[in-house]
Amino acid sequence: MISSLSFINQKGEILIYRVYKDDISRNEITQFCAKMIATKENKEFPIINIDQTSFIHISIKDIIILATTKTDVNVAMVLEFLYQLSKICKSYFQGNLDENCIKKSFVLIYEILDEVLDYGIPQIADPNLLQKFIQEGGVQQETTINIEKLRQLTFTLTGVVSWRPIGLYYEKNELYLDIIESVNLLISAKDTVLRAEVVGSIELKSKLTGMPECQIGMNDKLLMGKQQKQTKQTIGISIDDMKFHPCVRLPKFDKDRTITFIPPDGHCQLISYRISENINIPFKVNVFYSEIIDNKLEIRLKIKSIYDNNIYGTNVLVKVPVPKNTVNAITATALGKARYEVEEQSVIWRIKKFQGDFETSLRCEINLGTTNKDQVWSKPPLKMEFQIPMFTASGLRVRFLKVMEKAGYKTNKWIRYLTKGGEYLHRL
Amino acid sequence: MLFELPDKIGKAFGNGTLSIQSSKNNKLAELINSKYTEDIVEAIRMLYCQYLQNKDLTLYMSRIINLLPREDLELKKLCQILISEFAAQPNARTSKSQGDVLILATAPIFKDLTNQNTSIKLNALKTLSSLRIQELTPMLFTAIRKIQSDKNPLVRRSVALSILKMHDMCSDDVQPDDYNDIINFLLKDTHQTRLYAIYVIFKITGDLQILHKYYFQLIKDLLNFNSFDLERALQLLYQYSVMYFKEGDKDLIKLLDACEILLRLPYPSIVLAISKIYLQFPQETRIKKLIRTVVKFLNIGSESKFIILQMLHQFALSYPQYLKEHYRALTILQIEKLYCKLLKLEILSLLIDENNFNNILEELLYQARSNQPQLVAVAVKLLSKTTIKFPKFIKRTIKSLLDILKTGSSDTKNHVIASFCNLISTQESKLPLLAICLQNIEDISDIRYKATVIKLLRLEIGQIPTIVAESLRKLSLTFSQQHENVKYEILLLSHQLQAINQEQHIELLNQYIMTLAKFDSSLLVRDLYRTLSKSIEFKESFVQEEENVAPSLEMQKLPIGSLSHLVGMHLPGLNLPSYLNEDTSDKRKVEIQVPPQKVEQSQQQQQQQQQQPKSQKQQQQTQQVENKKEILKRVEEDVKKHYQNLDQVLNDFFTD
Repeated sequence: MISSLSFINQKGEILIYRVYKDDISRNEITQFCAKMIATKENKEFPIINIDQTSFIHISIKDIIILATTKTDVNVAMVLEFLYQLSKICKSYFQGNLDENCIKKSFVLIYEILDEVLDYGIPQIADPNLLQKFIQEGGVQQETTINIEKLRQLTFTLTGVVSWRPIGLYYEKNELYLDIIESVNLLISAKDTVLRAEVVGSIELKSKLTGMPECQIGMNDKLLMGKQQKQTKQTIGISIDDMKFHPCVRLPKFDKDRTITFIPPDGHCQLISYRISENINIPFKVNVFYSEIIDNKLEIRLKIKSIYDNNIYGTNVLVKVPVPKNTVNAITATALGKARYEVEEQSVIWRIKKFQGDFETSLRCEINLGTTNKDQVWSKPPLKMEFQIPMFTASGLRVRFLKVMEKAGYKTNKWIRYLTKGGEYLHRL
Repeated sequence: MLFELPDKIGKAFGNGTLSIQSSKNNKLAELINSKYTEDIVEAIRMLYCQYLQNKDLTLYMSRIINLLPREDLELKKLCQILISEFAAQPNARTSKSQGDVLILATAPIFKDLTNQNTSIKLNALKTLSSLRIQELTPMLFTAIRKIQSDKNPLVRRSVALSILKMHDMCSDDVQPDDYNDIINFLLKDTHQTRLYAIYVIFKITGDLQILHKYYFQLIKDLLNFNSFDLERALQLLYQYSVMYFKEGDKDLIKLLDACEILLRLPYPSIVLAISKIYLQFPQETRIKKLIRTVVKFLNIGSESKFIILQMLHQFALSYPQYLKEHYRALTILQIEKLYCKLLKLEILSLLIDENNFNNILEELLYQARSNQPQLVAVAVKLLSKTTIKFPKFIKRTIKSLLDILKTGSSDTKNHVIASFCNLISTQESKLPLLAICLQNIEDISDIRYKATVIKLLRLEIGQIPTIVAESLRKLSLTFSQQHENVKYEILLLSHQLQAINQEQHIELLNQYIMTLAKFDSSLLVRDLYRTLSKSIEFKESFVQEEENVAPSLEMQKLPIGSLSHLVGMHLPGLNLPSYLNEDTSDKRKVEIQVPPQKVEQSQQQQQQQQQQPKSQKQQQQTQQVENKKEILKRVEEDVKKHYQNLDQVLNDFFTD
């Protein structure tokens, strides 16, 4: 149980302080601020224990949200709650949460704190639902007076389908599904793959009437394996780790690997997954650093795209790190533009459109200034960013998407695929 | 220790428009007595500011209480929050006058409890239960009884919590008879209220007998809870399982199976709660799955990563065999926070074996070249540790360390030399490594390592007298600029060299160093000079750097993932009830024998086997040391006598 919550600024001054239990004193919080935040000592660690009091905090921009407790709690739960709280505050302040916002509407935050926690136990923590209880400028009069509406709200909160309110209506029923994957790749200086994984998520945006039940089918190896005998389709991919939004019926998935759910209204992350086997790595990179003379460095870079040639990669950006004492860089490339950027300490090569199955190269001549030789260049890794629409590095495909509702209306469904470069690194 | 500090709370608001200077106080009084709601709300805002600045609000309390019966919802709510915050202040709890003010507030709030609007009812209940007025508790329980069957589940849930609040805040006046019937009523409610009721019982009594009846129901409900309630339910089930289950119980397996499904939820807190249960009743397959799930959370961007890594660290210590296959997921990324990098390195070094040695070594070497000094220190230290563990790869490691030595910064060089020193003590052929250290001795900025190198040189003096002489000559050139510890070592080296090699030039060198020591600024050096000049052979004290034993026994007892484990101390709330050996139901008497885990046994055997050659080596080493000791014993006695005499002389001198 959380004993107190505070919002603190960078100087260690407390903006909001709300106490939930009697076991904590103001003095302890002040001391923590003076010792830890103002001096920036140990600020990196999210959990600090001083004299039996545990201080658990997160930083959001220039604000630190601090929870204290004296008992043994589930720290991950407290951290989750703090992030959720920041999300709630952001939803009230148009996506911002900074010192000015808090100073301006601190009374509103007090109201929020009163709703989200009771005696240190998290209560309502869904920004959408909470916004129906409290609105900017105070408690929303209309909803609270309309008792019938409020009853619906509270039943939603405490019921089994707590994520979806009853009685939704849309003229056009639409369902959007985005499969977004980011490729994390780490290649050592000797060109061995140290780490290769795809972290993907299926984002859902629903505008559906009533209480529809949806079902998604993917080319999941385990599911396909079961059906293969009947349909003789190709073998799917193996998805090792999947995490689901609470709306997904987990026992059903465990039983027959079908994903059924009643979608929350609006946007949510339905599934997140991680795949580390048989990944289609979209780009192959080769780098050569060679010192021509003492103050001159030559970098040659070769990139090859390894996806179908009817697919295009967009916004490809390659960050080639150069030493600190670089004076200027002469670049030569056939595709895109490359130039030396001082703030980034790297040559940045931008390619707007990169066709599949295509190879291109970059040659840079770096002029170095004279420098103290003791400072050795630490050679940060080469970084790559990209976006490839209609391509999934894992090979995941949605085979079907069904919406079932009593009313039997027609739904417009949209499915998009996108692969992004996550931590796409090549050590030098 | 805590000490008084100027109260900074609310200081950020400065002395601007919301300050409470005397002139402003008039404005506040004017606003709070105004007819218009907007003015009053503004006044309440000001009062919140005063509260933040730790100002006494007693003066305004009666006016705020008068505002409670108003229809305006926002105003009502703000007043209620302010009253409950006022009640929470330590002054309000101790001072009678402030407590009396709060009694005034009860009448309008009691009235609100009968309001039709759920929101008003809820807030009234929250405020009433946080007033901490002992005299009111019987009345409050009567009022709660009236609303316990409220149509709204949110209110019923709040009823359960308010019982806990009152019990904690006025424990003397609350008797079990007061609330038992209410709790029993709530237990028959929907899943969420039932959970709250069970939770309250557990918090008040510390017992979970009630769960005998609701155990299966709670497991069934697990999937219907939101993440925070689910965490609470799992916490209760964990406590229950510790109290009433033995490993392999049929009913326990149902809980473990239910948890397995929950591992697919995207919340680290749930996985943490489940891991507690799994580790209490370890089963090979389940632990494997758990580790897999925990590894999945490594991509998390929030501070929870720290907890995840701490868990993995513990897993790497207790179940390295299952974590090894995931070692690639632990590769360090540049953008990660330093503490994550350090923890990852530690974990990787624990997972190292002959199959993944190359990759992990490469990772360690890469991090050793980083520009973060702390990371370099840890990486180099782990490198030497792993080399000692895997002597097969020593050449490769030494080569890589040499590369780092050539290119690294001065801090890095210090760490590399330190790890070389560590390596020297474990190797049979010490000279090549010692030569490297000697080559770089000028670059070592850390005095500890410099002194250690000289000490190591002293130990090998018999084998390489000419090299020692040459090094000593070089060191003597910069003698006066060295730190006293280094001077101390140089002095000893020179003395020892002279003892075994009495050529003229060595004697001259020794004389030169002795002269420098005689007039040195450091007392320690001068003292040593005096002892040596009386040609008493000096016994050096061997202080070997103790290796950090990773987790202490205390640490291992604490459940992984709990806050107590993270901060390394036993926090209240973790007091695990001792095992109750009574069987709670006839069904649970059926015992399933779980076969003992082979893997753990073999590990123990391996450890024992590893310990045997170690102990042999240790014996050899101790013999050598004992031999040396015997020789030095006589000298030591001489020194003792010398000092005893000195003590006596001094004593006599002062007593006279």
